[in-house]
Amino acid sequence: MNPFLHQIIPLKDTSQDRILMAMIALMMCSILMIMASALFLSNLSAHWHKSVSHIATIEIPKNTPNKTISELKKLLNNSSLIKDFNLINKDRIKDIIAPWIDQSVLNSEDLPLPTLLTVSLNSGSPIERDKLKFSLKALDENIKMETHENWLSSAFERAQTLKTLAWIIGLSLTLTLIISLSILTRTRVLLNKEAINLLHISGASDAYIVKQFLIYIFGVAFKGILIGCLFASLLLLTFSSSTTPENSEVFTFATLSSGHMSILWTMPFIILVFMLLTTSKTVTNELRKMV
Amino acid sequence: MISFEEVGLRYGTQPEIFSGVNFTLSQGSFYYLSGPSGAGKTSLIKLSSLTQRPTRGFIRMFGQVIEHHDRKSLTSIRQKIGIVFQDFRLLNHLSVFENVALPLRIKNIASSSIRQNVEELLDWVGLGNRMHYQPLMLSGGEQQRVSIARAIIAQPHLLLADEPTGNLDPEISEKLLKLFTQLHRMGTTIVIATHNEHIIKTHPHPILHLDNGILTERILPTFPDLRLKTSPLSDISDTIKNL
Repeated sequence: MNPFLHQIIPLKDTSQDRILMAMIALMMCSILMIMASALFLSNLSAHWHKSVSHIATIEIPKNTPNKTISELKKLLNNSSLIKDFNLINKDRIKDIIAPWIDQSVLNSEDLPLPTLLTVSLNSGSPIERDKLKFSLKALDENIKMETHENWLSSAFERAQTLKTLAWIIGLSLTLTLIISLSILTRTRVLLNKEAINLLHISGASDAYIVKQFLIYIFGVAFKGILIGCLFASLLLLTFSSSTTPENSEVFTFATLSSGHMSILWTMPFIILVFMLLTTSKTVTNELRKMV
Repeated sequence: MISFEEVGLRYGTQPEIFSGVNFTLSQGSFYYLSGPSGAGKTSLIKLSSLTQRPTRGFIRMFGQVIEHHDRKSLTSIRQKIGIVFQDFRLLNHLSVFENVALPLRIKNIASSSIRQNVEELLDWVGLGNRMHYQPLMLSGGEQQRVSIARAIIAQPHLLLADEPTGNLDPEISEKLLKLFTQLHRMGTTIVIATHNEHIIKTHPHPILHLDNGILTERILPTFPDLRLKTSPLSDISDTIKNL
């Protein structure tokens, strides 16, 4: 017997199947988008860690004596912690502060713009960094070194929270989908009780009846999942292509690695397996209540 | 073939329908199950077809005690039983062909073999030209024929019929009884639940009479021994076609 050719229990219901398929597609798309967001956040925090944790900024106030500046240069050149350092030019500083300052003030020669140095750091312990900070303070109290540790740890915490939240929402959606499917399957068993009874009386095993439900659910769920995946792919592509050259610096690292892509596209198969297991378990439980 | 030992049945908290029913049907026998409406004939058929579990006692079928079997192993016993329901119980979304093919599909028979057997049987019952119809497009008598074809397609050892003449006119009922008699001659054990006294008198066989929860066996004085061995299928073909 080929069960794929003979659906004996009348489970197909075009209008309800469409609703079920749409629900599965919507849930699948949402789950994939949420999972993708979690993976993006994961990439984002990894990128921050990689790119910002080894960079520091040194602020030298205007009117700092030349002697102090040359001593500072000497100190930076001799420090084992510092890989290299570069001066941030005035125009770039003006660009950074432009949103908060009036244009006329910005163009004024009296604007007390500090001198900023971007410093690339070698790997070193926090003690070595603190030592460098103290050495700079010793040169001039107003020279500040910002290693981004404070805001970076706070950003990491927030990213981690968002990532956890995304996983919780994704799992909740998956659970909702599976519970809905279980309720729907139970309803279908009750609606088709007469046909199921007839199959039992005719000598059909529970496994035979379960197989009928699995074939039906597989047909609907597979289409729903496929549609959901297509929509999610389109949304992800739209998101990727909407990153303009201006913000690409921010978002290029937020693309998914092949490992992340594998995790993302394995999810639909895992969910499909869960759906089939749920169907099988629900139908078996309901059949056990029958004679 | 079937034996009931001190079988009792109750639904929920209601009083017992049967009180310690005992009987044995040997292979190749033909029995009527009679009794007034509500006496429990249908319940006894349900117990015999394993669609209802007794609340006490033992049912032995084909040499096996049913209570000792789990759900899985009951399926092989059920496959040996054919049932003709009073209300036909055809699956209206399937064609006549698929309704008759149902027991064979469950038994995992090859499609080519199913096609051959079902077409042959539907021709035999005179519905060869209606195999692609749906049951609701057929008359009551035709639906009954589909129901009978489905019950016998897998060559059951035991055929149970619950009020098979209940929805049929006397002429068709008469022909149906001839058919059952001929199937019996081919070696099938038959139990027919009926309260149609006319049929019982015109086609005499031993009777299991159920009344007030007590089962008694009666044999009419005119009862002839009809338990002959196999006869060719063609002998009953005309009877079935005329239903």
